[in-house]
Amino acid sequence: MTRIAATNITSPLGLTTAENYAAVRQGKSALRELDGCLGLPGHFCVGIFPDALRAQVQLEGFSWYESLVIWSVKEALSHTDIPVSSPRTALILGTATAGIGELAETPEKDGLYLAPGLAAKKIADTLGFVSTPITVSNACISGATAQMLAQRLIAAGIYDAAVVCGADVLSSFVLAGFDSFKALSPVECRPFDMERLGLNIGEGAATLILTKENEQADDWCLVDGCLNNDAYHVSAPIPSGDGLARAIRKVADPDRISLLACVTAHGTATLFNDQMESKALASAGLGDIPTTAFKSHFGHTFGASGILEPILTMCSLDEGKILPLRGFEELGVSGKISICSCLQETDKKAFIKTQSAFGGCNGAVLYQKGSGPEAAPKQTLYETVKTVEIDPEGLSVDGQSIPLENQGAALLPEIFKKYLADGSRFFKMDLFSRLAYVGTGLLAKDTLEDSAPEDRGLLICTLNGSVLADRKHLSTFSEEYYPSPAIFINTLPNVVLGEIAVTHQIQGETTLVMLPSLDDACLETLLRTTLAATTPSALIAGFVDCESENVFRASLKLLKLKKR
Amino acid sequence: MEELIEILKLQIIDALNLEGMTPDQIDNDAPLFGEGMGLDSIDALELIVILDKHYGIKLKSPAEGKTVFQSINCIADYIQKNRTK
Repeated sequence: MTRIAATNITSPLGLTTAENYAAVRQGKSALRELDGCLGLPGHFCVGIFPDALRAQVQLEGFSWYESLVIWSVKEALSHTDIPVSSPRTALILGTATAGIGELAETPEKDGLYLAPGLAAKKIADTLGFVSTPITVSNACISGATAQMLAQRLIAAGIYDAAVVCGADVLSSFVLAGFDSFKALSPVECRPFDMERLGLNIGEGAATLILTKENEQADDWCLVDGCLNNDAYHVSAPIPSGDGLARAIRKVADPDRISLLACVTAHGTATLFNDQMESKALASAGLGDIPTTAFKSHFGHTFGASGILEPILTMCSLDEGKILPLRGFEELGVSGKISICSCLQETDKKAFIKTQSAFGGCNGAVLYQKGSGPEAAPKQTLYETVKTVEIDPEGLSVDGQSIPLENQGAALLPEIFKKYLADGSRFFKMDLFSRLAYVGTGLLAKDTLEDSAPEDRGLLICTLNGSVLADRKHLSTFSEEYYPSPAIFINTLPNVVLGEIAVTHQIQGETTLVMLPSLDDACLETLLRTTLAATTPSALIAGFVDCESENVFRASLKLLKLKKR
Repeated sequence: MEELIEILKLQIIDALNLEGMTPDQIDNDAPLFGEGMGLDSIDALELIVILDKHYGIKLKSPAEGKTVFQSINCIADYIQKNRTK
């Protein structure tokens, strides 16, 4: 249980939580229909900052993403006395694409664009943090992942407080990518509705300041959460909703369900997400709980959404209200759920937030007002059973060099054909994904049979992430406009975790973290807290990084729970 | 028609990264999805890009592509009837 000491929402609807809640309460929406958007041809409906509001937030010498994060964190901090400059205060960011939009304007290295981990360092330095900032990039569930990580780091006693900010910005990069997926609605999105046509992309930042529970205070708390992978397909959720349902069941037993005022759903308004989510909610026993969603006010704000949407729910429950789902008229999903179509009264003070993402990951987080019992950290022992190192020079397994014919990037197809050759999408992957895929494949092959799929986990840390795929995606729409879904999917660095999860049926937690450097101490901290909180029976973890075609490194290990 | 089929196959092999595959290994009548070639939903979207980029044919959604993308012959036939470039 972690206390929420302060919040901020920075969106086209306002620069504080109060402004945003007031706007949403009045039914306002940030969504605008535009012919041509950010230099792209065609008709789009997006949640975009008005110029005047953007000018208040934009800082000189910083990307739009960095500016948004700095504004949101600063405003949230102004409501507390948390010591930013203490080594015991963490900065944790959640983002799907960070400042990727800047890449279009800065094709060479010396522009404003920074890898997300380095952008986080610049933000941390500017705000005065001294701890190493951690950026979670788990596509649309980055917000939930960042909060869970913060809660674990506080519970483990490593930090006293954590500033958690989820943010993403609208860019031609992301817009073209989702356009190639035919996932965009040309009009305001309508989650769960019969007439829904797809999602709208939005932008914004949202911040939670988390601290250890204070029993005196009647504050909102992050009680519990579960993240997992449905191991079905990198860009499509399992139609049964089994992965998300499993996550919800972990955080909501019947006792907890009886306390719930509402569910704040992901509700992206794509045909597949909403259908899957309705099945998951119904099968996890939440079919009768009033369900609302906020994407028709903001569009999909990706990394921000998992933080922004719970904050608005807290505001509404503080008022004793459940807000109606804007734009909803008739249920267009087969799972029997109770969409809140008009303002409802409630005196309950707890809710669940659900999220699902590319890469197959799902998340469910339970929030409640007031204090509760502290979960005791579990004592578990792990042993390293296998290691893999790959760099342009070659491959070694358990410290033994393995003879191969090729060097450089050509090593990876050779390893794949020789040891894995499993009919996966390997040849459609970018270099980063190939490296992660063969590295983890060598560890997972024939070694996971003794663990149940839901007890297998994956944790990968990187610096440069998918930067090579990012540049390739840019080339598909910067002159002629033919964005490619197969290339775009690789620009989300967590997607390879989905590829790995599908192949090896890893259905536990799968997380991608971006750091300012490949820092062993930071990896060790993340590893320890992940093991203590999720107690998988097998976990594959380590670094995977590609700076260029010729400079790359994977350093991975398989850990298993020690049998007593 | 035969020339179109040959070019189309090369475009598909290239865009879908069908490693090590040559045009003569793709059966003109075999189903592209499910069994047969085993393409997936991302590949279907990629085929939409091929039609747009090389033949000036705009499909709105994968659902519209369902009948068109049954086999190489179906796609070639559709291209011949609808191409604008």
